[in-house]
Amino acid sequence: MLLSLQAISKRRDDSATRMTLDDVTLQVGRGQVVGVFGRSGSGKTTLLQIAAGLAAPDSGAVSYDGQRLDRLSSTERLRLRRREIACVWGSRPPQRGLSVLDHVQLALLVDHRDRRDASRRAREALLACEAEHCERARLEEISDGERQRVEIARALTIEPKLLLADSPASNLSIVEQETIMRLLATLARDAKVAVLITAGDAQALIGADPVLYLSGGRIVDPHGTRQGGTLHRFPGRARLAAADG
Amino acid sequence: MVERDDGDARTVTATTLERPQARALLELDSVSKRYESVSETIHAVEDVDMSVRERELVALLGPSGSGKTTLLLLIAGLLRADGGSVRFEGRDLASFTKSEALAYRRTKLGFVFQDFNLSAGLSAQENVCVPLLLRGVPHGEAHGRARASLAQVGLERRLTHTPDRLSGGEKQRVAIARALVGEPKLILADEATGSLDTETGDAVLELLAALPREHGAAVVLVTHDIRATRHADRVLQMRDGRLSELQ
Repeated sequence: MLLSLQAISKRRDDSATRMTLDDVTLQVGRGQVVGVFGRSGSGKTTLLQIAAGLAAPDSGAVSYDGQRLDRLSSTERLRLRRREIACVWGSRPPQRGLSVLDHVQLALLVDHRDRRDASRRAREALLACEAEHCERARLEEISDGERQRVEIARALTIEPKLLLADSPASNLSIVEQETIMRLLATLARDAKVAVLITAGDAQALIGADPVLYLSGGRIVDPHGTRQGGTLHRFPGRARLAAADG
Repeated sequence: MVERDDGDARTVTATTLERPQARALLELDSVSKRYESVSETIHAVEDVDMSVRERELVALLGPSGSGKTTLLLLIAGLLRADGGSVRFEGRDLASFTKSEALAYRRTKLGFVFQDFNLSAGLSAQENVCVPLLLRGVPHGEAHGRARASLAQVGLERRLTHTPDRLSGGEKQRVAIARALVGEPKLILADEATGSLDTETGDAVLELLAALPREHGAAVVLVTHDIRATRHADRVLQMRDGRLSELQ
């Protein structure tokens, strides 16, 4: 497994006893898309931050490609995020004033890559994400759906081994959600990328396998779970799995 | 000269807003911008004359919705005026090709936003490097200039800090360093103290006020913070899309 989280726990910043994550275990292999859904405040973003090495768990172990991520120095973790672990944070506002192409190639430029090569790779990534038409637009000019595809394109430019996507399809139409998930599934299948994606609702995780339910910081069995008064329906191709399943 | 009594302000023509003894960097002549929806037309900016001289600090006051940000976007060439002209160093922005408009923003202007507009995954130094890297400046030179720019705003010990490890005031200093690093002629600051407490906001205002003197850049400070007027060479006010100079 490329990414392995074993018995991860993390207390809330403002509480000695309340947990953001409580004994969470999950694994993601290359070519796999693992989905985690849960309502706001359930710990999804913290889970991804820990998987990205941006936050440390209070207990448990995070392994990436056979090494303990939580034991690496901040410089080593930064290097991994620049070269191997790509993150898409759905809730972040776009950086104003940048063109789409600038935004997508920025990670490469900052990582000392050749400017021409960075532009070429950014254009290829935009094409792969069906966002090449907005290359010259500014980030604030494009639609939410386009922006999420642009964010995924930006993540692709580094040719990551692991892609962590935090609710990239929130606030998008079902058609746009399907587009995002199709992109990620293709990426996983063709480039053997390991994908861990979160969403507020399981229906936004079409094609992910397994789909895990995070509630109150714990991975729980979702059978019989009700949200908003409606029994949750899961995508046909998705298999529900407990964390250790 | 036409004057209209407008309470605490006078509506005046470009003749008085301009100081003929100094060279105008930026000139707006009868600029208008309207937004149209199915049900109404909003005149966001209406018949505005304005000029900014080199090394001048102009405070632009006005309540929310008065047209301040629209005016800033027109100056930045991010919006096109429906009427009138915006000229920078004598050139009409409407005559710019798309690449010229991009070059104008990258080389002549610096931007400071209320919410800092920093890239979360990048260090302070890398954030400041961004406008240089996008202009094709080599990495070594870009990093050196970014380091110097951060030192100028007192952040030489925060080079490797990412935004989540910086205070609000420090983030705004990084944003100012980023605006400065390309040695722009004009810095556009949109509510730069809006997210800061009083003490931190005062420090940021002092920093912005020093830019004309220490870096040779003119500054347009869009704000509803009356404290900004202490530092300004001139104070303009937007109200319902119209511009006037406070006396």
